[in-house]
Amino acid sequence: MPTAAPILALPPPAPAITIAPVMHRVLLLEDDPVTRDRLAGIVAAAPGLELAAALADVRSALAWLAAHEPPRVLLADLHLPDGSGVDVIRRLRQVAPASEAMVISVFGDEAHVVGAIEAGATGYLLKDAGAAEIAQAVHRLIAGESPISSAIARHLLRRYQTPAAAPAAAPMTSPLTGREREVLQLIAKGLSYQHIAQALQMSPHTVTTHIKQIYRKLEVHSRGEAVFEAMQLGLLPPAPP
Amino acid sequence: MTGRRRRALALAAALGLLLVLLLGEQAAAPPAVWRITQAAAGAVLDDERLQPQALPHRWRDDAATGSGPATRWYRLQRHLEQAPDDPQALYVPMLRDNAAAYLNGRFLGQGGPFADPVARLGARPLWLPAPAALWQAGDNRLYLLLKADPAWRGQLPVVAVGPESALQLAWRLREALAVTLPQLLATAAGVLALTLGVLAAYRRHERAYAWLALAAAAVAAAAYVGGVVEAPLAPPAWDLLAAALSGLALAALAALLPALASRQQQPPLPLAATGLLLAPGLLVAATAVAGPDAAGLGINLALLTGGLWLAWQAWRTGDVALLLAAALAVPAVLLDAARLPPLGAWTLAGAEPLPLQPYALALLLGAAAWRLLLRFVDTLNAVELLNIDLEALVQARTAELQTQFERVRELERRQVVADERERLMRDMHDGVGGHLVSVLAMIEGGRSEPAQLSQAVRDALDDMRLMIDSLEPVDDDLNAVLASFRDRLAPRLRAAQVQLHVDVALLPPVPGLTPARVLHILRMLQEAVGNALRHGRARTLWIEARAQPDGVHLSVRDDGIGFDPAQARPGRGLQNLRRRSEAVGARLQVDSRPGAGCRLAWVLPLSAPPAPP
Repeated sequence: MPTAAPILALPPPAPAITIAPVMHRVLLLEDDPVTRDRLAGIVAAAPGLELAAALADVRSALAWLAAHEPPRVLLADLHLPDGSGVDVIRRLRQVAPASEAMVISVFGDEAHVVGAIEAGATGYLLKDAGAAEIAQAVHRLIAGESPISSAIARHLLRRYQTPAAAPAAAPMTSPLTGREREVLQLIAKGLSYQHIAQALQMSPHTVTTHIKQIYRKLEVHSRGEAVFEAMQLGLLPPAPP
Repeated sequence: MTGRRRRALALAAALGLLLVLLLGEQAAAPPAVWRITQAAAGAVLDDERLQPQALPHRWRDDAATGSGPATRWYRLQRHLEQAPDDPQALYVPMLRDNAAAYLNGRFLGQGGPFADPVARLGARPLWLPAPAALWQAGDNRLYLLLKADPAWRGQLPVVAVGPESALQLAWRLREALAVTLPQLLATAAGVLALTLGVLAAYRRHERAYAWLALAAAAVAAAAYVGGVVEAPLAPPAWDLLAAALSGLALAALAALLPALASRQQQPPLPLAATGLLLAPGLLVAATAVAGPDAAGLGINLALLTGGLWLAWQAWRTGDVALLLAAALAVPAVLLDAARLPPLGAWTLAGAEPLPLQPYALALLLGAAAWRLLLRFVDTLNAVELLNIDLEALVQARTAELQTQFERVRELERRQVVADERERLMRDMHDGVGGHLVSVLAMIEGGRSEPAQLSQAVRDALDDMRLMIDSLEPVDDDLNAVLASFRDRLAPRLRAAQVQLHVDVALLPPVPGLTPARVLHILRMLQEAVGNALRHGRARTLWIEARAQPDGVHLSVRDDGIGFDPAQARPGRGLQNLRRRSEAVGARLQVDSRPGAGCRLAWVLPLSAPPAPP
């Protein structure tokens, strides 16, 4: 995965660190001050992570993104006083496609998370997760793992049902290949990546690749849908022929 | 227009039509100038033995008229000053049977064959052209040979001899009134019979149609039998047939009378059947005993009765068409009886009377058809109205049903919502509510460690997440439930550095996996894992699920310190576990020994779930 180039342009790291390890900048977006402080503290204290900023609303987050180098990871709450964190996730994915985004959620319920995933997020964190849990999750994300919960896999399967299964209920054409669908089905059943790899006779690495591909397709797909809807609403001029 | 005026108008119209008919009859009489009223007559062609005879001459008036066939010769003389230039003709308005004519020894023509059975001209006029070349100045002798069977039918009314141009109008008028028009009426009756026959076949329960079809058919047949010139049978048989057909027509019409008066009643079948046998029988008997003329009189009598009854009904109900028909038919019958044999005398002014009986019969038949047609139309209209009503009724009922259905659905929906709300309340009371109350107690007691407090709050949060997960539609898929649980558990255990081994096979659908049952299963598992971590201080957890014939075997195993189930004090944890297991219909099995970890195992049945708690 191409790493974000502007590591050199980062603000100078804390002088205490002499052999500068790769520090991953994390942007935190959370409106509840107590939770924000707690998460900020966890990120700041986590080895290998650096808190780029901790912000409280959409407007300041968009302004921050316009003024600064994009962070390596965005942790975003969705319900913000002036809008949805989904907009910030989408903006980040536009300006820095290599960056990663995660939703921070109280419950991690699918209704809450799926919209963000389609905007480009790659999973979620529970707000009450412990410090170690949070640090681990961010590092795994940076390392290229793309966790996907079984509930979200089931949701995506329902949404992109094959036309034969539900011709009227699924107006959308499925962007997924048969192999990706099989992977999703096994995730929905709760199989581990190792077991999925065994069942589908592929390497665990290939399973991860498929999952990343699914994320990318969902994001692109939802972006296309968003543009189409915007044109329908007259917000965008029609594309020139 | 008032009913009275309409009736008066109908009567006036009937009178007018009758007058037109009589005027036509008068116009069809040969012009007086060309009439020959004196002749010489005799049984054989012998000028010496021909006796002077005044015309018209009815053979029945002669003393020696028999009942067998007879022939008679007439000699008529016409004196001309000079031979004519234009074509001449012989015109006899009504002969009843057959005649041949000779002029100055040359054959002019004949009505029909003379061989037995002799041709019957009936009401037909005889018209024989006599070319101008056959005439001579001075006396011209015209011989007429008449044959009648039986002899008393024979008659020679007024004979007219003159230029074709002078006689033609009268002849053609007579032909129209006496032949063409009755033939047309008979044809119409035949068509009516066919139509109504079809109708009667499809509406068997309405006998009026069958009666009318029968009457029309009989009228048409009687008209044919009465009007045919060359009858295939000898006179007595042919006359009996005609009488039977007329009787049939009369009986069928009589059966129709109730239907004509009111629109509902039908004549009782036995009575009508009796009439159908009786009337033709009577007429046949009359013909056999007293001859066709006597039968004709009987027919007229029947028609008169029916006509009068109809006139009365028409007057009563104000049916103008019926009144018109009756008012025409009654005088026609009277005239017919008064002027034609056997009662009749010759008409005034030498006009040969038209037989009006066919007209009267056709009129009564037409009246009956008219009435039934009205009834048919009324029925159609009524059906149409009924259909409209019915449609409206059906629509109203449909709308009513729709409303009721929606009401029921709304009630059901409310019930479902109420049930679900009650369940959620109960679940929150058992879960989050209980946790929060104990947190409150811990804080107020002031003796709790922060770690203890945060654990209690975390438990409350975890339980809420279980509730949220239980609401996800799983379609009876226990794998999905276990996957959700594992997704919740894995990050927590990873962070706590506890090993988790999940070994879940693909499981068959578990029927009745409602949110309530899912929540029980999730809480069961949560309780088991919580116990293993907190009390058992486990470092490794195994979660396993296998499908077996008796159900899904589910287990949570740990490598913790274990305990002795026999000596374990009945703590809340174990009690809760048992309660929840019972609620989902599962058997709980606890295996543990001090120092050897703990294994909790359930068997979830695959049959229908027990009634929801």
